Amino acid sequence: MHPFGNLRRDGLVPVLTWGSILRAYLSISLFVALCAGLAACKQPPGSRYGPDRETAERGLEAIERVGCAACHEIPGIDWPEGRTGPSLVGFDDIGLIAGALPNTPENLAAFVRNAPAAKPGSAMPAMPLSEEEARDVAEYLYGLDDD
Amino acid sequence: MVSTMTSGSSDIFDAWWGWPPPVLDPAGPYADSVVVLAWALIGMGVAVTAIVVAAVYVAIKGPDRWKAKLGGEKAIWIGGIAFPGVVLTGLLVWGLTLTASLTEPVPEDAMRIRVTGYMWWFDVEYLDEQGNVIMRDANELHLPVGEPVVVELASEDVIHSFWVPNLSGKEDMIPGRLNELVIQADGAGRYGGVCAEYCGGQHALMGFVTVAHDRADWNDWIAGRSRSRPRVADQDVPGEVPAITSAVAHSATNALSGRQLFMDSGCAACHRVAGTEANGLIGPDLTHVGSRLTLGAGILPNNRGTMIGWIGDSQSIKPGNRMPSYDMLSAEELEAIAIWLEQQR
Repeated sequence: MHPFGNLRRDGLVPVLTWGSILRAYLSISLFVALCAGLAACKQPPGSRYGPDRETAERGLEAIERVGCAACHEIPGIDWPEGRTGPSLVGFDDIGLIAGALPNTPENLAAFVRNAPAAKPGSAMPAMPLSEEEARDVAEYLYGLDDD
Repeated sequence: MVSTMTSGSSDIFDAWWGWPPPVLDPAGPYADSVVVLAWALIGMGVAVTAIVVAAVYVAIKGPDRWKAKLGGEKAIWIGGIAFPGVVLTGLLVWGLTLTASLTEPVPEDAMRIRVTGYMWWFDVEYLDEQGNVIMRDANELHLPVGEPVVVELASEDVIHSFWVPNLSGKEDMIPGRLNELVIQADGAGRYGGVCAEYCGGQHALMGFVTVAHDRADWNDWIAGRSRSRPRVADQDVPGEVPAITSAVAHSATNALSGRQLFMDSGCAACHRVAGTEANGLIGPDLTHVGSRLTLGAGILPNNRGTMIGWIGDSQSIKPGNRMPSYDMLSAEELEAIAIWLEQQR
């Protein structure tokens, strides 16, 4: 039988019945569930840095408020995607912050708040962020698990 | 985790001043009647749609007696002619009465601001009683609370439309014409504005902010923009950009002169900074750019970082805008120019 119902004799027009719709719905659901299950298998538990969701969301708010995206491509922000500074996609995998500082949460928080102090000569200026907001921003950038 | 955070609107707009501006949330008399009318039209639309859906249902599934009635001549006379005739006439009379106040003359001495549309930003000129320009600004309107303000609308290129949904309806800005729109804010605060007439590629990124101050604050604000410069901004005035706290102030001493770089890099060909040799009129006036809430015509918060990003590569932020990306400037030069512009308050 055709999955979407009985084919008429002329073989061109599938007839929709409640039964056929239900069957299609169930098979699509099963497929989606299988895909989701497979995707979930990708990461062994505990192998990745687990960012605190609330902190990261506060970080994203701070990022939007001060406009980091005017210079940086930042996952989670559709517009703008500035190119004056480097893309921050996959920041958790980056070795050195601005090619200068070991990529630790402390260094990142210090850098986003006062880049010229952390790396003299950087075009990135001090940003109007509190220390706590800077830590939130760092948390968000590390949470960008986009691979 | 990221997927949930990326969904929905996470544009910079939301965080900065509430984008898009709420359209059914009046904050002044010139928006009140527009919003009442809008709700009435929405209600009418829902009611008429419901009647049509019900009629279609009856026509398909209803008993034959009803079907016959629906298809009869009487139904056409009542539902097709009498009902819309009466309802639409009533609505027209009511709507015209309701919005009559929008075109009532305003006091002769009402404040006047001329706003000129450009692709894709707004030039703003504050006028005195004789129509002389007392101050020129861009992408930001500062009004005293509770007073009607006449906005003269012009355009230098294509048709734009001026719309602060909280404060009034829209009005077109047409090249070669001077339209007038009256707006009034009944409470201090910030109200987002947009261009409401498609005007080219970056139409969607053509916005501005309206800031309503109490009268005394407004007087201080305009006086602060007319005094000799440079000056330090009063942090308590609504609409001022909070300065970077001293804890994160600029750390390195900057040897370059931002002012000199601004003149040498060609910025002055398009931008005016009063009191300097920069007298370009093609781009937004930067005399008070340091005290503005936004950059790039209402689209970015205003701080040193966004200033550097805008100068360095405005084309990645607002592709096709008239300002080229100054990617030939070094980090030090960008910073020096941004610091100098920050001081233009």
